[in-house]
Amino acid sequence: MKRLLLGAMAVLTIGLFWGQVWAQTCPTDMVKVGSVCVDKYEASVWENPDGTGTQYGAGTDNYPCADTGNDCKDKMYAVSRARVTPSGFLTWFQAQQACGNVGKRLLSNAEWQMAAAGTPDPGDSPGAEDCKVDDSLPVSTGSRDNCVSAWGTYDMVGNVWEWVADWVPRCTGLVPAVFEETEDTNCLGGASTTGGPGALLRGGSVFNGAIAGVFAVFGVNEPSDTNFNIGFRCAR
Amino acid sequence: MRIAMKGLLKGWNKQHTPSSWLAIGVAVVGIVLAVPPNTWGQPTLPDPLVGTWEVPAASPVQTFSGVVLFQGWTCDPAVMEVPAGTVVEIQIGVNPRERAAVGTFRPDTNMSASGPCLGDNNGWGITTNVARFGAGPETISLFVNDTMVEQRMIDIVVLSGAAAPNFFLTDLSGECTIDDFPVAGENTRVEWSQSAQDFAIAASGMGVPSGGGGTCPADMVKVGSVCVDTYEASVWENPDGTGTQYGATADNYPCADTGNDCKDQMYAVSRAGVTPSGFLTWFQAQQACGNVGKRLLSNAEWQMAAAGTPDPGDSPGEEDCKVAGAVEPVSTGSRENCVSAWGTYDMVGNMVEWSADWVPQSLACVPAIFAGTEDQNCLAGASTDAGPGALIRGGGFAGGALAGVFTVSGFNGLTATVYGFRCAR
Repeated sequence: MKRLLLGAMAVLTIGLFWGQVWAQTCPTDMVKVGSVCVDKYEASVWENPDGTGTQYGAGTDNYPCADTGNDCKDKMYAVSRARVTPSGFLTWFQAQQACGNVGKRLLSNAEWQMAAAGTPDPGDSPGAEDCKVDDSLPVSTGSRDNCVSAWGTYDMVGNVWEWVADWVPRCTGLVPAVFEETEDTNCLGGASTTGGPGALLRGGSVFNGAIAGVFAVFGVNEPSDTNFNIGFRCAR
Repeated sequence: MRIAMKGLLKGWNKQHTPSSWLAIGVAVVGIVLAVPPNTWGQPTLPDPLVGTWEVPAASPVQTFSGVVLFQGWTCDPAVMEVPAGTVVEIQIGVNPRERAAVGTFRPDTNMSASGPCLGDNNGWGITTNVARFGAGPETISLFVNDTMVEQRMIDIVVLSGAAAPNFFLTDLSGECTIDDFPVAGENTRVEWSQSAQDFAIAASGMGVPSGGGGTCPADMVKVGSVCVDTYEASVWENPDGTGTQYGATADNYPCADTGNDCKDQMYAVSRAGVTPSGFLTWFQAQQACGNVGKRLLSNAEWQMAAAGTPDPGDSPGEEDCKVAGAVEPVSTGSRENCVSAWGTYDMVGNMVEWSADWVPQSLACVPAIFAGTEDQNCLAGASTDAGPGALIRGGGFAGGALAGVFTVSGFNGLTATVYGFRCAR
């Protein structure tokens, strides 16, 4: 009996230790990817941290702070939420601050790749539940049932391009796809001596068709660029 | 008093002779007159049982949250230990009584440790999630053999989201480092623990700066703020490094070069004395780390961990880093001199290691960062035909003098299958 109890206590103690080391959980709007919590959904940016008030970047560039990000502290908040329009129209600097204001950060390129793995490539003619790559405007976050990765993140492919943290010398020309059969666009080649840097964009967007995919990487856009189809997500 | 006595002593009859009944009566009167130090408090437990209700304390009122162990111990010195069949229960508020485990190991109550008991299985305790009872002050009552022997007060704190019936919260995370705790100059990190439904101590550092605290598992070493695998990765069928090893001598991975179907299919392990795994793409290496809650090292992290590894030069000794001889890797950690100042093995030579960082694919090699090292430096130029490249580090088992802690190359594409890796978190 004593030995049993001692054994049970030892198991419990070890269990608690490993529980703390490994089973560190993520909030319900994020998933654990390796050692990191990654937002399940593309970010929507809001007036309040709980995703209330005005949404910014849903159809127009109405952000309350400058493209530089310099005055964005505590002005707007990135939220991971299903069934809302992902926010676009913001610079890399603004996206970064929107994550920072909720205690998060942009994903590194490598983290993005890990989280995206397993998202089915929609090819050129996606079905209604496949990733959104066939023209027009971004769809609601998480609204495409098949557009989920092996790790549980939605819309990594298509919908909006996603800023990641990494800067590179600006790409000067497309190079062949990392895996040729995917046709995923690959502009991480060359090194501009006239412009840049480029901040990497990942995954492709609404009108990218077959060139969108988990290996799509684009080093053309400078971090000060904005577009309706450039969004982001956060991690921590 | 007589009624109480009957209740208190129910169940003891078989163990006490009529003469001991008299002794009990006398003893009870004695206890009522002068409460001895080793008792439950008031009212006291009947002699010959002695014991202490340890959690919660009688005063001041203690605050509890999450999963709590209420405990104490008791014994009957006349029969060595807590009598078989003793029923200990607690009751919080007017909720149903709950029965405690009785007979747990408490050697500190034994006479050999200056306790009053002859045996040592005198403990009792009950683990309960106090969030069930809601926030605020509550009574907690102790029952022994169906009679309440004492009532105390506790104060319960509940997280705002923990309303019944959802008092067991899931999918939370959070941590915080408390500086100068438990003593000045040291700090302690606490993390949300789902099993405890409370914050639990995750690490306590000796004078570690805030934010840099924490310990690493035995197969990793702390490098700055990061835990880095001590050994080059071997990739296995199971997370504990059992089953088939992949990539030891051939490309026999159970998932594709893209990494897309690698989730929960193979696991990177940091282990000494095995062949490090190779034959895998950057994408597969990354997923093998992810499947064990880790990731590839960034180039900068790799550099930090490698610092101090002695450069074997062109003619390594038997215990130096493996950069010459047979064109194959040696077992992980088998070269005693090939250890960095941080405690990681085989950073130089053996397997060339993938890092996390992508760059435009390099086109040229340029002079070594430190001229004296001869370490190969091929991070220059930017291909417009192919790429991207992922930085590889350290040189390989045939690298000779070109291998070293400053060896870096951006020449290779992400789909090459000739390199190894290690993980961090």
